[in-house]
Amino acid sequence: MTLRFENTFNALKDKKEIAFIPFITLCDPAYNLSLKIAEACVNSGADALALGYPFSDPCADNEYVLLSEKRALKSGAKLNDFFSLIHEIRETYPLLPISLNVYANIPATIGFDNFFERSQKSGIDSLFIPDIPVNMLKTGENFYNCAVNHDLGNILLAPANACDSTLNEIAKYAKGYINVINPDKKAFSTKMTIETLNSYNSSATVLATEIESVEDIKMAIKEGALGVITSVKIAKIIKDNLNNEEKTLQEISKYIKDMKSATAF
Amino acid sequence: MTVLNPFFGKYGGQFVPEILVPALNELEQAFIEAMHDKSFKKELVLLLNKYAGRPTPLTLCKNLTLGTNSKLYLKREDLLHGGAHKTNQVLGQGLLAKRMGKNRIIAETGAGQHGVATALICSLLGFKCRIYMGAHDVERQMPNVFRMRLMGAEVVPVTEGLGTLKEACNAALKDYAENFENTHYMIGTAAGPHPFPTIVREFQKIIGEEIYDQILEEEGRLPDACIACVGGGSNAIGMFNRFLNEDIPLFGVEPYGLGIDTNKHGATLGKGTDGIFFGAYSKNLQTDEGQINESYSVSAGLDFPSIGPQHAYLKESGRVKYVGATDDEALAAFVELSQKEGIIPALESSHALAYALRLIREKPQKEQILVVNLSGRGDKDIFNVSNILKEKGCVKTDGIDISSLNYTK
Repeated sequence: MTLRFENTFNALKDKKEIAFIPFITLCDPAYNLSLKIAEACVNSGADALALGYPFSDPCADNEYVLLSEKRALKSGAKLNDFFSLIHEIRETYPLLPISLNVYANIPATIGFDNFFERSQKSGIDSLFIPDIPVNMLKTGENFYNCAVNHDLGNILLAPANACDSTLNEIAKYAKGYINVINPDKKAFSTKMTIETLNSYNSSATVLATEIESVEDIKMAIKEGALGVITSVKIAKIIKDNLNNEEKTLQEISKYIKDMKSATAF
Repeated sequence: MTVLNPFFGKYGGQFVPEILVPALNELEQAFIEAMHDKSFKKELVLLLNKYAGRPTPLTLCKNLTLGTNSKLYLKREDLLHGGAHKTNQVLGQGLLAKRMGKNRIIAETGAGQHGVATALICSLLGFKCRIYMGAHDVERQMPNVFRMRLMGAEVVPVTEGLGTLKEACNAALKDYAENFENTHYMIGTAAGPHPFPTIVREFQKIIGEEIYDQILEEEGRLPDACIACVGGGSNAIGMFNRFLNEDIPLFGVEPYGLGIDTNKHGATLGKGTDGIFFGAYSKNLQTDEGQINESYSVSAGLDFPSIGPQHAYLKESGRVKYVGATDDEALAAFVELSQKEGIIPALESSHALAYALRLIREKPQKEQILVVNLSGRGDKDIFNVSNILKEKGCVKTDGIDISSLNYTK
């Protein structure tokens, strides 16, 4: 199994920084610009990339990501394009940790083995399937083993409302990183969730909701996260500058630089 | 892990973001406890009988079968309070929500029947109520939209995609993920993640149980076939459940729309492939790369590109035969039942009736007893059907003439 995520988190820890991971939807708004956006992110300081595989009916995405998926699908991009784009990014950045976020229906339709094999071959390190919770991971075709057999890590979602035994399971099976989210900050503590996961020696915890500004990153550091994922702002920039490629890339670069500069602790 | 088995063969499961798992576990727990609680059952039976009007009659058609040797019985879920079978299970889920201490109910609706049922139970039990409905369905089901609003529900038109049931489901699932602490998601059909398919079946199985007793009383024997329409599949599983271990044919009738060989249909079992959508491993109408397609049917309640996982399983096992009726066949059945029996059926149920009429007319000499689940009444459809029949040239000065429609005459 690849160690790109582990190596990156370890190196950042030595530098006293947390990881800044932009989420971008593959082929949003179209193949060529999407590649340039990925490059702009990495060249501006992103420590890893979370790539979203567009789906017609995402049930867990915010409205900006939802629109980004519509744009990508509308561009006519298909499975081969998505994997070819991943492959191009991997060729350019051989050491960059890359995760792929994909809804279960895509691999379920084309076959989990087939999908996982193509993911691995195109250069993915870890897979995040948001609609396979940990209690379903070993059912059916045994999604967990299937990923492991293809040398891929399973990224899991750890919501702050999950019980202790679920967090233990998540810590056991997640590899690459863990997406920590908090559905209700008044009712649940993100910090406690991260501490519980740490106590089970989990993969790195990454905060994955409401990370838009420098202040959000500072809060994530306080709560003990080892990284943050941001999705809304980049999708917004793409949406607001659809006819202006240059401005899209400039604004994204600036945003990434600003955010990355806040990750030191 | 779940307590009850979340799978039907390989279908089913609980394919939702981890964030929803605690809410689904809580629901499963409440359901199991309620099923062992005599006072819960007593309260439910009381509501079913005194509020909703159970048991519903089994009506023998007097005129539709003239000239044949068939007997056609209709299970009159159209007479249930609310106008469709949907009321059966919202009473159950409403009591469960109360048991779990929720104060807000959300639901998705296609034809608006489930929305109406949800609105009425929320009004009765004092829940805040929000209904997600595709914007296109809002247009074609105006009477039901007004009924929901009249009973105090907030109806949110969903404009994503084609604005039908699929988009309403996505919107409801998102709301649930954000608000499950105080909100119960009242899924309207026997689909979605575990435990919904099981809960909905258990609250709908009363349909088949009543049919079983009623037909024995009328005929002294079981029928030669049971027939129900399938969209998500709740009225069908409610009818079939009692007969699954009996040796009689069961037919689930899918909406074949403009024809199963066109791309305008909702034949999820006829043309769908395996996939994971709306929380379960089941059959979907989708591209070969796993993007969900839009379904099509003249009937909003059957216009859904996926299906309850137990139906996918029953198709694979061969226990239930899944067939279809086109828009034209359903429209013809809608008109015929109105003209010959004085009953206006829902367009959804008209699909089941259309298939029964085809069976009867193809073999008029055959002695057989058929039962159709008349899952809902058609008052909600009259404006829409009136427009469609006008467009098809069926509305004459002296009445409705359906001879130009393509159906088994």
